[in-house]
Amino acid sequence: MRQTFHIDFIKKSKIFFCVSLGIMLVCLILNLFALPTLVDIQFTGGTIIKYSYDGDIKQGDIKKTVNNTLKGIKALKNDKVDMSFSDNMPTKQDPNHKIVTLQFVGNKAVSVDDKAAIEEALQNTFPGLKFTYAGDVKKEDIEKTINKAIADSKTLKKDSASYSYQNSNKETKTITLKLKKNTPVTEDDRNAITSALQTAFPDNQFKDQSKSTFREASSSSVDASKGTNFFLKCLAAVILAAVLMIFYVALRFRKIGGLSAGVMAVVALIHDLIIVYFVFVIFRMPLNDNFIAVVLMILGYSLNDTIVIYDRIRENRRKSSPRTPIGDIVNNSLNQCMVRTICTSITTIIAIGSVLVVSLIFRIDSIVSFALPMMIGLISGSYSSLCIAAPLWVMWKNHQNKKKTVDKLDNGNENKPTVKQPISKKTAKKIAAKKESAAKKAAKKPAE
Amino acid sequence: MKRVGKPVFFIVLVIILTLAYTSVFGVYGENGDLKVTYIKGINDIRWGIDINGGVEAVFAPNGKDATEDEMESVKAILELRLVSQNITDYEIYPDYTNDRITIRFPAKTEDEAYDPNAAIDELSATASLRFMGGTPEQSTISNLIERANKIGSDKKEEKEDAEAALKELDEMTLVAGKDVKNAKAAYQPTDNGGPSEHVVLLELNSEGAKKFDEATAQYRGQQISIWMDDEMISAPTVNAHITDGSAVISGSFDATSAKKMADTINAGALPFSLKVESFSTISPSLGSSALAAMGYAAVVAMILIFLFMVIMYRLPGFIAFIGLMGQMSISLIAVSGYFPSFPSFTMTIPGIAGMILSIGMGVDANIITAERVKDELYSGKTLDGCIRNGTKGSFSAIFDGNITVIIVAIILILVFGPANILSSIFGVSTTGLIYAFGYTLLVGVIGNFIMGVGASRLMLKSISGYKCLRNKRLYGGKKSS
Repeated sequence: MRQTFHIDFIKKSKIFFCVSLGIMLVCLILNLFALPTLVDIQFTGGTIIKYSYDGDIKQGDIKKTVNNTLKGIKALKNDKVDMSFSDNMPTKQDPNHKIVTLQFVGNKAVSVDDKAAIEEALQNTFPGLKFTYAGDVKKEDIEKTINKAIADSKTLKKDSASYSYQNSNKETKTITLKLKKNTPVTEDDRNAITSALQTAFPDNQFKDQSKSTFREASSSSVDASKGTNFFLKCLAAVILAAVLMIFYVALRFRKIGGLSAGVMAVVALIHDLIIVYFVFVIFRMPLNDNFIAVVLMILGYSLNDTIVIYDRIRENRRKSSPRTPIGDIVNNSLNQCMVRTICTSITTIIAIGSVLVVSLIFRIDSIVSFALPMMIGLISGSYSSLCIAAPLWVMWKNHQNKKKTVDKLDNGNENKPTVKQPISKKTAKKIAAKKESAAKKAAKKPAE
Repeated sequence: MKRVGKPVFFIVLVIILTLAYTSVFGVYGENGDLKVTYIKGINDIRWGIDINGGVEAVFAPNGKDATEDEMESVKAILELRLVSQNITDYEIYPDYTNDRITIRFPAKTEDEAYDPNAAIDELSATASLRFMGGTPEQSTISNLIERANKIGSDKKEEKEDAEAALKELDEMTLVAGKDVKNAKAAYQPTDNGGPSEHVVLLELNSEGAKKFDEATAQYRGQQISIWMDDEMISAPTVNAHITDGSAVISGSFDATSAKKMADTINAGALPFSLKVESFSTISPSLGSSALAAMGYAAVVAMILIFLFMVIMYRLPGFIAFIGLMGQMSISLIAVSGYFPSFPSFTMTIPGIAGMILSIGMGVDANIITAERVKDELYSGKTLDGCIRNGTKGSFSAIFDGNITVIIVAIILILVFGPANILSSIFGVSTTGLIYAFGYTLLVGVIGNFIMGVGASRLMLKSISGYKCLRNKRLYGGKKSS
């Protein structure tokens, strides 16, 4: 048969095992001491709220406002909030550039009303549009100008503004506009209103002092007990899938020792799952329902790979003599399958890689936490099918065969049913080894 | 082997191209002013809340064990409330074992700004309408309602206190929401000859009419306050003795709020108060860029895979790509429903990722087959023989491999979808997003069997019949002898 690779997987299997164990050990140490596992609120329960905003606001001021608001709410008096800041990808509907994420410490589920109170506090402390001016202008005139600018704007809604006035000091006065909740105000809108005011009242030095428009980008609140239930449910789903798959492999490959094949396949799967878990840990992504979906997907894909290899082994076994050592059959099969395994990995990686790259560019965290572990899991899946499942199975089979060979030799007749007789271990090993090498030599010749 | 006719290739090609075009762009016609949809395209796909923005909330009764009938009536009332808010595209999943109701609906983008908090509040409000004599303090009523809500509590004192509070409320109530037969918003003068304003007209049933009769007689010249939960919406002075069972609620209503009030009264009060156990809100802006991103990813993936397959496997690679287009079309058809009579599946971001993943994995079937054909060509058989052996030998591997993906997909669908098979042990969960992933995976595998395996092989066998395309090099072999 056409064979483009000549890698001795079986001989090198010890190297592969060491590499895998080594990587896992390093990751484990990192996990225990440097990078603790993060778990999403979907499993632990808790509340995360994300607000997008724009403008020059000090992070400390935001923290102060939120903490003060919490003190005023009965249910949240004693709660603490972790706040982190990041960048937003501005879109037409949400032109804001910044995001602040509030996570309530201690897995607290916050009610809808309390969440609304926080949002209102933020919007009131950092109101939307603000202009300062000097001199005497009639309020109605200012409002008329601004209302016309708003009506002219394509994005803002007519009559959506309410006004309030302050005298910050004798010379400068401030007019603050509150627009109907969550109406996005683009930079163009602000500039349009500012220029309209400056044109209408050229002597009054209207200046744009707008601070921000806080809008809720997303929020999520899960009760703690619900979170635990959900986690158990996911776990049950994974175990169910694994059991069904072992069952299926054992059934389809019973001719080559189905159950052991199934078990070794599962060992490879566990290897892949651990790798996926460590990806989440190292990249600081919280374990959430994406983790479960990736785990299940890799289960299916890795098993797919392993099955293609087992199928080839089964076929080669059929075609070769019963004396051929299993190690050689497997080696041949693995080399024959390598091209296909690599090509399929490439196409799948192209597919999921496009998703990953695009979501990194657009900064969509939820997809990155889905695509990155998936990609690494796919690579690990191919690797484990070739270098872990098959060699392990060979070792198991050889272990089984050694037992059988000992019994057969002792009888002197290979066709009779085996009967165990006492024989010293050393002698048995020697005899078995001699037989193996003789069989190997015999098998090598027709294969070349 | 039965010879596959030469025209078969073109027939299959045309079918696939037609499916691809119609499933992406749809087929529309015009009937006068209306646009008629004959076949649904990508634009008709219903997007989930992670793309369109929206709200997902789980409601539970406030500390009470609800009967199935009560849960049914709660579900019906919530549906009425959703519809009256013009939200027709909602999903509602009651869980009778655990007394939970999960509601999911998209953010409205046209008329109103996205306000998820108000939407949740309106949906979960108990909405009991009460007419009371005089004008009690808001704090008194609020207090009583709060105590009464603890009726399901395990603590004995709280339960007894709740019962006492409930009794007190009942004694104060002259007419309740359940006595109202129908409510309607109207625009009419409240005093004879006065200016018109927006009001809510109530038509009371016979028992309600009797109660109102007594109430107006008793409180003639005094005020009767009208309460919706713990908010006083109106406190008119009783000018006349009303016996016909019709009442008017006037206050500072405008057209929208009057209609809302009427709808709320008509939908009815919930049998118990609800609390929001968990919620998830996503604003529309977050998702729209994600959708565009996935579109780019799909196109890039298709192009790269096309290049890869054609370079590696030449003619079979080209055919594989056509099969891939067919598989994508089937996926889109299964999601959009294709014909207007079939509802669209709710597609989420993980669902799109599943579609893209099944592209990458679908090609696997063609790769396995092409590799086999290459192997056979190497051993020097005739072209037809190689193709025959190659396709036959590879089928078992493809079949077994795809079955495992089907197992995973079915588990995802059953556990995370509406069937919720593990929910009796673990409770209903709110992840509908992963359900879409399982669905698109399953559809992708089925599409792969039909197109990636079936149609591809038909095309391969048929096109190899053409003399000009019988060069073994095209199939991966060395120079033809």
